[in-house]
Amino acid sequence: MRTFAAFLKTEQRCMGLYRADFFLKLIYGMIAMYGVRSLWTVLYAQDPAMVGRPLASMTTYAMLAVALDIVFYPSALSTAPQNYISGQVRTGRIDTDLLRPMDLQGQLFARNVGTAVFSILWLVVPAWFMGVLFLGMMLPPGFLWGAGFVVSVALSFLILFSLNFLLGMVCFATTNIKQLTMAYSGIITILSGKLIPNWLYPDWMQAVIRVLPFRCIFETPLNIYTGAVTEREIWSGLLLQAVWGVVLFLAGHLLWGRMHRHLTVQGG
Amino acid sequence: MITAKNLSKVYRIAQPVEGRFGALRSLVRPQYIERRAVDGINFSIEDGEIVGYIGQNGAGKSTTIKMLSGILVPTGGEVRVNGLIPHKDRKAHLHNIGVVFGQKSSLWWDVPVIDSLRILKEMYRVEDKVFQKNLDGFSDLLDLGSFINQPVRQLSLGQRVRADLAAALMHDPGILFLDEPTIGVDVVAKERLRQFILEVNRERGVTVLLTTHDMVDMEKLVNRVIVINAGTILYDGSIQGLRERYGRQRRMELQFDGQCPALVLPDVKTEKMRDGRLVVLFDRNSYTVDEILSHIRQMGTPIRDIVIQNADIEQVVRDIYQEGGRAV
Amino acid sequence: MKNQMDEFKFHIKIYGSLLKMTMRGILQYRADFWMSLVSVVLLNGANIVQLSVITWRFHALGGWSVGDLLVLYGMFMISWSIFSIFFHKLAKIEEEIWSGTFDMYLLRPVSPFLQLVGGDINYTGLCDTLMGFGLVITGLSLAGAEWGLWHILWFCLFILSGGVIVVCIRFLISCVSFWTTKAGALGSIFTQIYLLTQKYPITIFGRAFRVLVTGIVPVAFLNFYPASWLMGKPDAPAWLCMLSPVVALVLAGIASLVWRQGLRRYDSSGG
Repeated sequence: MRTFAAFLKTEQRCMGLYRADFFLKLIYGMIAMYGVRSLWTVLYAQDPAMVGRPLASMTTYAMLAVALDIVFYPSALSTAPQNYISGQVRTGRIDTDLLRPMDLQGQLFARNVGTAVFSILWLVVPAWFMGVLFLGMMLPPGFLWGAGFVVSVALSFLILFSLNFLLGMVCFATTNIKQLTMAYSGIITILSGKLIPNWLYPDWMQAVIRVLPFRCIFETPLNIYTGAVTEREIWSGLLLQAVWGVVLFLAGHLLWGRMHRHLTVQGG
Repeated sequence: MITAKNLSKVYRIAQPVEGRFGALRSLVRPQYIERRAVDGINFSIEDGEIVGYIGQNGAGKSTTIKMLSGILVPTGGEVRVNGLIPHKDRKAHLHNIGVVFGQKSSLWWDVPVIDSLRILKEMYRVEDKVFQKNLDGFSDLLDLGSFINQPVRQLSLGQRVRADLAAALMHDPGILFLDEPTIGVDVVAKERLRQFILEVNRERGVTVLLTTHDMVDMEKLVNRVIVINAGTILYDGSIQGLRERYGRQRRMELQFDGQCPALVLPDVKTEKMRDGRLVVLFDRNSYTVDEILSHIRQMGTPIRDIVIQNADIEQVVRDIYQEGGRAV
Repeated sequence: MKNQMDEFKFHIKIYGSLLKMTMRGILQYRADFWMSLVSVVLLNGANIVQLSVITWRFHALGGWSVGDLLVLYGMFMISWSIFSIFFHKLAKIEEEIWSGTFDMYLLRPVSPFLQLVGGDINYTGLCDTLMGFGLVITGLSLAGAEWGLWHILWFCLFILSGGVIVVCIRFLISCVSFWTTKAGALGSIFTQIYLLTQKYPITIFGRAFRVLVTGIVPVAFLNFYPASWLMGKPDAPAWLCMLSPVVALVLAGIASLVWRQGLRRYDSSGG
C-alpha cells in the first residue's frame, strides 16, 4: 500500500497535477455533469418512452459519461500515444525512439496505465462521489454490476489506448495531425455513446455502430453500471470488449513493428 | 537631467498560506511580506553623461530603470527626468526617453523591422523628414540595411539589439535607458554596439544610463559608475576611483629558476602553479612591491620573470559584491 | 474637447496601422484557411449531431426545434468569432505580464489596450463566423422563419452586443491576473459554463444557473435572449431580450474601470 502511495505521488509530480488543478478539474466535471443532468431531465419530461429507461438511470448514464470523459477524452492524458508521437515527430526526436530496440507500444502502455490509474483515482472517483452526493447519481444495482463496471472501465482503457496508438502511427504519415486528431475525437464522441446514447440513433446507424469498437469505450461500462444489462449480458459485454482490446492492441503492435523496420531501413 | 531623491520601492509579495484550505484562505485574506528592492537612493545625472549602473541580479537595477522610465511608481522619494515625474506625465516623458531591454525586443515579432519602425514613427508622431534622416543615419551606423526587411524573429541577437536601438532612437529622445544591451551578443557585435552608443552620445548629446554585467562595457563606454547592492548605492563616481577605492589588491606572478619557494606573510595569499610559477596576492596598502620582492629574494631562488597586475575591474566588482560594501 | 477628439482620431489611425502591419505579418505564415475551416466543423460537428438527433427523437428540446437550436448555436459562434478574430490577445494578458512584454506597452505613448489588441489578428477565427452564419441560415430555413428588415437590424445589433459581451467578460477575467495568478482557472470555469449555454436553451437549467448566466456572467445575452426574441419563443420577455445592447455597454464600462485599476496596480507592483 505504501509503495502504491509513493507511486501515485511520483505520477502526480510527473503529470504536474497540483491541488489547484485537481479542484478545478473537479469543478469542470461538476458543471458538465449538471448540464447533462438538466438536459436528460427535460427530455425525460417530454417523452419518457423515448428515453426508454428510468430517469435516474438515464441521468446517471450521462453524468458518469462526463466524469469518465475527464480521463477518457482521447487526448486527455499528456502521455497519450498520439500526443507523445506527434510531439516527437514535430521536434524530430522520434529518431531516438526508432534507434532504441525497445517496444514503443509496451513502454507507452505502461506509462499510460500509470497516469490513467492516477487520474481515475484523483479525478473520476471524486467526480463520481460528488455526483452521488449532490446530483442524485445512482449506485450500481448490485455487486456484480459494480465489479463488472470496474473491469469494463479497465478494458475500455485498453481499447482507447490501442486506438490512440493506431492514431499515433497515422501521425507519422500526415502533416495535418491537428485535423486528424480532431476528426478522431469527433468520431469517438459521436459513436461511443458518451454524448448521445446509441439507442437514439436511426436504425441503420445503430447497425454500423454495433460492428465498430467505439461503443465499447463508453456504452458498455455505462450500461453495466446503470444496470441496463442482465448478468449474462455483463459477461458478453466484457468478452466483446476484451476481444476488441486484444485485436486492436495487436494491430498496433504489428503496425509499429512494420513501421519500425521500414523507417530504420529508410533512415527515417 | 535625471534626479532621484531618496527614491525607494517596496514590493509586497503574496505568501502562500500554509495549512488546510490554504489556497482558499490566501484568496480571502492574502498574507504579504515586504521586500525593499530600492531603499532610498540618491543620484543625479547630467545631460550628455554615460553612466553605468551595476549590481548583482536582484540588487535593484531593473526596478530603478523601471521607475525612471515610468513603468513603475515609486513607493517613496521622488524621481524627475528632464523635470517631469515619469509616471505622472507619462506620455510627455515617453517622448523624451528611449528604452532598450537586451533580453526582450520591443519590436513586433512577425513583421519586418522597417514596418515596426514605421508604426513607432506614427506612435511618436515623428515627422517624415526626421524619420528619413534618422533611418539613413542609423542604416549607416548600425548597418540596418542588411536586415531591415526581415521579420524580427529571423534576426540574430546582435541584429535584433541593433534594430531595437534604432527603434528606441527614432523619435530623437534626449535620454537612453539600456538594460543589459550587450547580454548574449558575440564579441564583434558587442564592439559595434558600443561604438554606436558612443557615437550617439557624442554626436547627438544623448544621455545614456546602462546596466550591464559586462566589465568591458564599463571600461570602454562609461565615464561614471553607480554601484547598487541590496537596494542601496555603494559607490557613485569614476571607474578610476572605483578601482582605487576597492581595487587595492595586486596580483604578482613570479617565474623561478628551479624550485618554487614557499612565501609566508600575514595577509598575503599565495598560490603555487604547476609549472613552477607562484602567484602572490597582496593589498597595496599593507605592502609595497619592494617589501614582497625582498622577502622572496631572501629565500635565494633566482627570479626569471615578474608580472604585476592591477586587479581588473571584474575582480573589483566581485570583491564589492562579496563584501557587500564593507570595504568602504 | 477638441483635444480628446484628436486623441481619439489618432488612436483609431494607430489601430488601423497596427492591424495593417499585423496582417502583413500573418500573410507570411499563410496558415491554411481551409484546414482551419475543417477544424471548426470537426470541433462543432459532434454538438450539431447531438442536437439534431435529440430534436429528431424528441421533436424539440425545452420547446426549441432543431431550427431554433441551430440559430442559437450559430449566433453564439458569430459573436464569439468577433472576440477570437480581433481581441483574442486580451485573453493573454497573464502571459504577457509573465514574459515581461507587457512592459513594452507602457513604454510607448499610445494606449496599452490598443497596442495589446492591435498586436494580433487571428484570421482563422473567420471560420467560426462562416460556420455560425451557415448554422443561422440553415436554422432559419428549417424553422421556416421569415425575418423582415426589423429582425435583421436587431440581429446585427445582437451580434455586435454579443461580441462586446464576450470580449468584456474574457477581458475582465484576464484583468484578474493583475491581482492574482488565478485568472487561468477562472477562464477555464467560464469555458465550462459557456459550453452549456452555447448549445442548450438556458430554460432547461435550474434557476440558479439561469441567474448566473443572465446577471453575473451574462453569456445568455450572446445567444439565448436574442434567439428567443428573434425566433418568437415565449421563454423570456421581449424587454429582457432587447436588453442585450445595454448589458454590453454596462460591461464595457465595468471592464474599462477594472482595466484602469489593473494598470494602476501593475504600476505599483511591477507585475
